[in-house]
Amino acid sequence: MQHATPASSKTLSQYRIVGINLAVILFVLSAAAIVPRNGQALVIVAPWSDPGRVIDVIGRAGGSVMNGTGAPYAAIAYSDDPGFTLRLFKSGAMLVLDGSLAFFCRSTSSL
Amino acid sequence: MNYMNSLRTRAAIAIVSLLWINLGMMVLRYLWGMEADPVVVLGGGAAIAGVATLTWWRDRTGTATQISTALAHAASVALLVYAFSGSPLQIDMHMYFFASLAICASWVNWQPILAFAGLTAVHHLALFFLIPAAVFPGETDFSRVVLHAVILILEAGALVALGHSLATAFAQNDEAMRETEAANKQAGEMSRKAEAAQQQNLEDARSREAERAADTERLQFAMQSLGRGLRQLAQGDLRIRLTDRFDETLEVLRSDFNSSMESLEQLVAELSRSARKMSEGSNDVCSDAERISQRTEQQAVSLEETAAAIGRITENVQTASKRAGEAGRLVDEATKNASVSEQIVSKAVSAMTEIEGSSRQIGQIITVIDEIAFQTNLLALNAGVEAARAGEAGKGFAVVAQEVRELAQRSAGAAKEINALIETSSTQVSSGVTLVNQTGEALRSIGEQVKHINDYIAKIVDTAREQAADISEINSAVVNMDQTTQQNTALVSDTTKSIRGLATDADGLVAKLAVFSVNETSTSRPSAPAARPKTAAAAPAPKPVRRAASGGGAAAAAAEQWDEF
Repeated sequence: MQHATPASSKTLSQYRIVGINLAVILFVLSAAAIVPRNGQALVIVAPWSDPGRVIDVIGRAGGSVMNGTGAPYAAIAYSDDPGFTLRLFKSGAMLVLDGSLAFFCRSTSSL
Repeated sequence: MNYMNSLRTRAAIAIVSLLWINLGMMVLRYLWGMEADPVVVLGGGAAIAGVATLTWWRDRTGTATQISTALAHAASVALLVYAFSGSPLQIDMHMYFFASLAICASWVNWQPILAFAGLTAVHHLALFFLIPAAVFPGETDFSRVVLHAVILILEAGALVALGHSLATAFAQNDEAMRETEAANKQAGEMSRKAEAAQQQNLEDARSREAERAADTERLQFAMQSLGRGLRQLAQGDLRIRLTDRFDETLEVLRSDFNSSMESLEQLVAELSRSARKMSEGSNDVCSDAERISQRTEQQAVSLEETAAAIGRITENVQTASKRAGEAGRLVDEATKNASVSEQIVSKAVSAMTEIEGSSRQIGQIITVIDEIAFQTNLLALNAGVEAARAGEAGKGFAVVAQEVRELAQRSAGAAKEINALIETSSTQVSSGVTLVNQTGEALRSIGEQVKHINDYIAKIVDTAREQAADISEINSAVVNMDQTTQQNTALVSDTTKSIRGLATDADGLVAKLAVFSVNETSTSRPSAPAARPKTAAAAPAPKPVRRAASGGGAAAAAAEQWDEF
């Protein structure tokens, strides 16, 4: 087995460091992108759940449904209270995204 | 550590500190009240700043640190923009992208600038399509993204160029610093060498001073010795020699002086000998010149006599020439006479021919007369016959016929004699014609010979004339020789006077050269050859013979002729 030269190992280390930083940055920015703002959240439950499951979760988290989506396991919810996202996860939501990302689920005007 | 590293080290502190300042601004925004999720903004900001700080802590100025901090700044500003979501100031926060990009340029490297610009571009494009409200407030369109991208590219390009220029300048600065340091070291080395050289110069100056004093002393000694020698030279003593040795550098001067004195002594001695020889030779030449003068006068007299003799010869030749001319004229006349004789001979020949023709005509007439005599005789016979027939009546007629017959016979006899005479005359005329022709031939040959004689006489006349001209030239040449000889006589007398003056001057030169004192060795060497001119002067007469013997046989003969002359 060949050992890497000091120069190549140093380059590899530098790539690794930049990669770590970039990973953290992408994670934070992605979080910023997908975390709900203005109280609007795209609430997604397990696709195999009951059709009314997402309504149930939003209701238990103290929010209200603003709009539905093309998928029965996703809906756009709204709440003024802080900690709405945390409450949604506690209520059984599998994924909570920003409400502006609802186009992923082809939003509709009715459930 | 060079200036670039120093600058990057200080810039790194500012860049990392600015990340934490951004976090403080996020906190302030949170306290002010924001729509964005505080956990994401504050937690994310802290995580980004923390990881970047750790990276910086591990390597202060490495390329990974530069790129990571640039990415962290881009992300931090993006979080601030995100924190201003819902605020009208959100769009203004975009200016912070450009400010942060400029701050990242303090790394003086193109990699962090490109990382910052790349991340910002990807972030804006992605969010514009995904969540426009996260980056731009209110309604927006793609033109704004394009405008921001153009500005970003321009700024990134400018900053890359600026960084490159700065890097080049820093490299040149570092090179200049290294060169300055090397120059300083070299200057120090040169300064030490200069001090050593100065010290060496001082020591050399002291040693030169001592050498100069010694040289001055030796020079004074040499100058005094030379002065003493020159004083004796001025007094005419050429026997002086410098015996005390000089310094090595001036020894050449002493040897040159001694050799010069020796040469001068020899020169003066030889000059004295030459002057004595010249004096003796001048006296010899003087006596020779007097003899030459006498001989030249005798030569002039002989030349005068020769000129007179040649004049007489010229007259004789001219007389002979005149007589030859007269003989030529006589021969001309003889030639003319010979041509006249030829004409006479031809006339004689024609006359003889006419005589021959007349004789032939006479012969023909005589033949006719002989025929008549024959016919007359025949008629007389017939008449006698007829008379006989007539008898006695015809007796008288018979006598007449007989008489006629006799006359005819006598006429025939006379005609035969005349014919014989005419034949004889014709024969003699033929021989006369032959003789006359021979006489003409002889006269023609005489005329031609006379012509030849005339030509020879004409040539003799021309030759005599040319001889007369040549003798006239000889005469004039002899006259010129006579004049030249007389001029030579005058010149020889002048030369004799000059040689006498030269002898006097040579005696004076000998007397003047006697002022110089020279060694006997210098004068004794040439004494043997100096005796020779004396013997030559004692017996000057055979001298030309001796010279001629050394010069060759022809010259000897010439000298003998001159002696006889």
